[in-house]
Amino acid sequence: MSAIHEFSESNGVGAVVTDSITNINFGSTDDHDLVPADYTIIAGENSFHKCIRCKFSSTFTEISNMKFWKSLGDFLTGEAIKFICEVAYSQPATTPLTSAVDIPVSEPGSANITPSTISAPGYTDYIKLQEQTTGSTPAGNVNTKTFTFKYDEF
Amino acid sequence: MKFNLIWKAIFNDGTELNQFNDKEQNIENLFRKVLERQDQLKEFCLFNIITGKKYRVDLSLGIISIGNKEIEKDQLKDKPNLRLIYFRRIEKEFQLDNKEIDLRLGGRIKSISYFLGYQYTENNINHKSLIQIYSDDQMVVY
Repeated sequence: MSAIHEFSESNGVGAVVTDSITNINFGSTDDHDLVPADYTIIAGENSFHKCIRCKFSSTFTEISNMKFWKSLGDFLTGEAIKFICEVAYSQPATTPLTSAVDIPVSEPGSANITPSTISAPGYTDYIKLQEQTTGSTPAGNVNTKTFTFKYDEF
Repeated sequence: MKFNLIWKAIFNDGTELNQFNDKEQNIENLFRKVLERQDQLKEFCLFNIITGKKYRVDLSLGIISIGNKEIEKDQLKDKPNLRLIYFRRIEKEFQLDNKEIDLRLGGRIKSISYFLGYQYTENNINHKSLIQIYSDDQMVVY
């Protein structure tokens, strides 16, 4: 018994929520569980934003100190993944993710997922991600990335 | 998910509270119940159910020990009010492509470690004594 953690994605104008998603692949459409080959991103363009949240269920007292970063997988030339965590949902688009920064590539020194604590089953704020490319990004598959999510629980 | 290290709280009146009421770890007492009685807490122990190793923090004396060996002991003059530190740190990994590690994207658990210790405030300065214990009994002393 402990908190059960999974990812949830929101899509569309009205934030249609899909819990228990199976991947957060980037692509050229606003949908969850994408097959990359079906929604390729043209070099020089951006993916649709990913609006995901961590969902905690089952029984726990408190979740805190949540950190999210890219731990493995090199970027190709001109490739970047942008990241921001914020309260408000916005319909995913291909425009550059507002106020986002490069996703950390090592463990952040402090929590970068809000809220700072979760003390009842529910969701984190929105973790917004976007794959960005330039005209110099080579054609073909990008490298597989490994992400790490770390949190404290009691 | 079953835990390798489970806790037991011992209070000043001799009563005890175990994290689980059964070996299968189905019936759990939330840590919140310990926090609600923190001012009455005497000892807090972690047991590694795989290796049998016991970790203990004695809040009345300011001692952290493994088995019978004391590894941390503050020279506390006035016995300030010691506050328990306990939490688990969970690290999960997942891949960003169509080869997800789990069917449901929760990720693969890379590690679980357990933090145990105490803190107190003296002359407006917070002091901590803390150890981090991994499931295989590897340990870091802070």
